[in-house]
Amino acid sequence: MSHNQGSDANDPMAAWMRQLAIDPLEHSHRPLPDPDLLWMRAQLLNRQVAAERSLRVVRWFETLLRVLAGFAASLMAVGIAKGLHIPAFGFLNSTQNQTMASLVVALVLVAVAMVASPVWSED
Amino acid sequence: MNQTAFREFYLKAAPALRSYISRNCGSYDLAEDVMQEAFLRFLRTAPTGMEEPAMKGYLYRTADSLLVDHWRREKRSKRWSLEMIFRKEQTPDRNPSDDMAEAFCELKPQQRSLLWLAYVEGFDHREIAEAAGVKENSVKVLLFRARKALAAVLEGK
Repeated sequence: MSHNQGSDANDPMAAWMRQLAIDPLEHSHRPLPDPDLLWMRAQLLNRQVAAERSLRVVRWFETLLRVLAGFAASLMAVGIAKGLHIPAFGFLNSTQNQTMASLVVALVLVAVAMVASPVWSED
Repeated sequence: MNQTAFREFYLKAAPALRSYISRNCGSYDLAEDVMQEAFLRFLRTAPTGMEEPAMKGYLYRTADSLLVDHWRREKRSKRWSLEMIFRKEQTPDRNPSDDMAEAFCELKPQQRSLLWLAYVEGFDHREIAEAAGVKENSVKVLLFRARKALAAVLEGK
C-alpha cells in the first residue's frame, strides 16, 4: 500500500515537519554552493580516478623492474666486493673481509635505493 | 545526467537536503560539507536512469552514511585526543532557541529520516522503503512509531 503523508494538509504533524524543513541556512543568508562547481569537481575526480587506474599497470611493472634492478645490483655488489679489501677490517681473514666488504657495498646500494625511491615515484 | 539536468535537480533537492543535514547534526558548516560530499558521490557513483525520488533517496542515504562516518571519526578522535582534557566544552553553531530542531534531534536517526522523507519530501511508502533501506511492508509501522515518538517529545516540551 502506498500513501503520501506529505499531502495531508490538515495533519498538524505534517505542518510541523514542513515548518521544520525550512532551511535554517537560507535565513542566515548562506547561498547554496554553486552546482556547476560541484559538477566540475566530480568530473575532475572521475578523470583523476581513471588516470590512476590506467597507471596502475605501469606502476606494477615499475616495481617489478626495481626489484629486478636491486637483485642485479646485489649480484654486482658481491662481484665488486670479491675484489675489494677493506683495510679497516684488517683483523679479519680474507674470506671474512670479502663478506664484510660485500655487506658494506650492499648496504650503500640499499641506502641509495631508499633515498632515490621517493624521487622516482614523484614523476 | 548532463550538467543542465544536474543543475535543475540540485536546485530542487539541495535546500531540503541541507536543512535535513543541519537539523540532524546541529552544525551549519558540517551540513554544507556533508551536502556537497553527498552530491559529489551522487554524481560519481549513482546509477544512471534513476527517477527523481530514487535520486533523492540516494542522496539522503549517502548523507546519512556520511554523518555516521563523521560521528564515528569524531568519537574516535575525541577518545584519543589530549585536547579533550584541556579544552573547554564547545557549543555547536546552531541557534539554541530552535526548539523544533531540538525536539527533532531527540528522535532516533531512522525515525528522523522516515518522518522527513514522508512529510518533507512527500515520498510514498515504496519510495521511503527504497530510500531508508527498510522493507516496504514495515514502513507503515515504523512511521507510526516515529510519529508517536515525535508526539511524545513535543508533549514533553
